[in-house]
Amino acid sequence: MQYYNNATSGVFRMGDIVRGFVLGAAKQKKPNPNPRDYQVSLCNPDFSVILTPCCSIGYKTLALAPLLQIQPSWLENPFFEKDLTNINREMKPEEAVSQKIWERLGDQERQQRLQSGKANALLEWFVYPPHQLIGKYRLKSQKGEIEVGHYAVDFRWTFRVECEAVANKKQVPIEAKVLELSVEARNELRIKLSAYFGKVPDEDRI
Amino acid sequence: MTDQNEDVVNPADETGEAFPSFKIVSCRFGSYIIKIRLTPTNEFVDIVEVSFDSDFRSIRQRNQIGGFHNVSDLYEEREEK
Repeated sequence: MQYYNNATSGVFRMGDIVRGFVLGAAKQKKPNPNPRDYQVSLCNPDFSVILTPCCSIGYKTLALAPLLQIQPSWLENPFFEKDLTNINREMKPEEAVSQKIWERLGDQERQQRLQSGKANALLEWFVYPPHQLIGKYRLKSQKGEIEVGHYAVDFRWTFRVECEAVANKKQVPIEAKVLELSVEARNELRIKLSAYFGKVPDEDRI
Repeated sequence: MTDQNEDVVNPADETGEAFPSFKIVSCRFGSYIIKIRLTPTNEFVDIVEVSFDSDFRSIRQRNQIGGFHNVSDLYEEREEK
């Protein structure tokens, strides 16, 4: 599947890789109605991903998550090692972990997991495949140091930024846009985000 | 036609010269996926491929949030020494 559009449209879309944004967060040891002891942490990642749904882009604000290196442990699962973007889609229970871990689970747990059929795993993550515009990096894996071109976003690391230049989807600082997902890939991101926010915890199940 | 995806391609002829850009759009039509070639101005050129859609779910069913595989704790990152 083609993940990136060959030519980017002149608007911001959900899933776009952008650059030049400063991401900030307040850090506290614990919440306090009259906070006195807190820190402001800022970062300026090489690349970020727009997580604001397309129709909501504007109002001088964007939801962004930094583009991160992949987790080396993912490469220990042959299903992920074959194609890291498999993390973005539903999979069988036995594909979600390596054979070694699957066998270690025990019969009862394996049976329970098999009942769920195809479903999403690693709900917080969405993987971006390599592209020359985002470059590669060295990663320490179980097999030694390797060169990797895949990146990932962690939905838990979503920041809100305010930017005067983001008036609406079309009036944006388009020079900040690096890559745009294809229609199919953007749909995968949308479904994965829905799965992340929509999962029902065990304690809420009836 | 229920939903569609686009790919822009520049196929070359036998001499290696590029044809004008075409788009190949995949459309779901009932149980089938039909790929059609369009010009950049969305004029129909021809049908590229007809295939059977093995995913029988409706769009609503495909986008429905189901269960998930709880495996996050089974992936351990080794700390660098």
